[in-house]
Amino acid sequence: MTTDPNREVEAIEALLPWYAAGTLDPDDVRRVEEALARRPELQASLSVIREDRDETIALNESLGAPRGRAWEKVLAAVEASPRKPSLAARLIGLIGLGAEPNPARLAWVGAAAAIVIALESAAIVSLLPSGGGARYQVASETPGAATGAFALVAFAPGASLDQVGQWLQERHATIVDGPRGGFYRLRIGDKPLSKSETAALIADLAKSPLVRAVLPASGP
Amino acid sequence: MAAESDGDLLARVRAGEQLALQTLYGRHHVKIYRFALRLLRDETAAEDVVSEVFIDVWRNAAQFEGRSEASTWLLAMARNKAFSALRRRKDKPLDEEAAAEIVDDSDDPEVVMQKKSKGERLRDCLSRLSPEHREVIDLVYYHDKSIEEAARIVGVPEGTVKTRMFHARKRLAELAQAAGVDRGWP
Repeated sequence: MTTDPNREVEAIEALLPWYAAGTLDPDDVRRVEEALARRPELQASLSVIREDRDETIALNESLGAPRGRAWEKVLAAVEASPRKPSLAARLIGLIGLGAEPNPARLAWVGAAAAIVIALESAAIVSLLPSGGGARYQVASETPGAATGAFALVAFAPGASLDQVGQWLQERHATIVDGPRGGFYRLRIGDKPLSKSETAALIADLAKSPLVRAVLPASGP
Repeated sequence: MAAESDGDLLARVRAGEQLALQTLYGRHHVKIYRFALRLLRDETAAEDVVSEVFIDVWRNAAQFEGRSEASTWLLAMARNKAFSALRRRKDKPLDEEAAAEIVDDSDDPEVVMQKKSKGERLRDCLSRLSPEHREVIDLVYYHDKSIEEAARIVGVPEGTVKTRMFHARKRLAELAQAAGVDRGWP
């Protein structure tokens, strides 16, 4: 069998972007690495590709995030066409059994899940401005409460009152509204943030194991 | 506790759980927004694409067959909506040719070149590619999509994705060279 060397170089050259990104299948990775060892001109192409990739990532990361209106529009559409979840689906969601639960576990899990829902709801509601058990200053009582950075946060199932209270205190955060669709509106700090600062803050909040999801939000 | 997979979340969305949709949104909305924004160059229009994608997820989660990653499915929807929006625009999209015609006469090109770092100049060039070239570059370099996934998102054969990527790189090299970044390729 004869192989045209130029065609082989072209074929490898076409694979280099995916090789640089680490998304090539193992057989092609082997082909590319063998060719790179034999042909130094491919190394030069790979360097250019890596530079392009770095700048593409930098460019995209500079683009910020959508405003809260994007989610509000989704929520409005969802609430206009609600679908009642089945009990099994709710239990699957609560305990993370996945798409194919083991039916034999659902009976005892149902009772546990119901307790989790009750405890979680009680814990979070007690942190709201209207709740008597809040151990921190609420936004409505704070001068300048309309300023600051805002985010919509859904807490993880099972997050305790103490954990959420401490988490809020550490971040100088207050719950100003919610829950709406499972999300609480938080005010964090007292200074408005730029788009990039808000994106960084949201990324930081999302790292907490107490947090299930974070979205950007506008003020009240 | 391990994070729930996107497939599991979509199973819960199919069952009507809003919280699963919110979690999925929290995971993917930023990257979908950036993908749409790079195509549309309009923040409000890109936000609309994000909203429409997740409204479709709520209504049509059963259409996700699990043959690809959920992010691939979401990006394919975003891509279709972004290109539909581009087609609907009465004004001509700011494509690479139009962008090239915009002259910054505040400084001569040499001074501009000296003021900007190599990285800034390359990012300028990335922004001046055509929508088709921008999307394939972004899918491969930023969204980490394989050849197969990129082909699925764009809706073309895998060979076409490889060819389009090659031409996008070639065009980028030409723009970079014109901007004073000569890297000797192609």
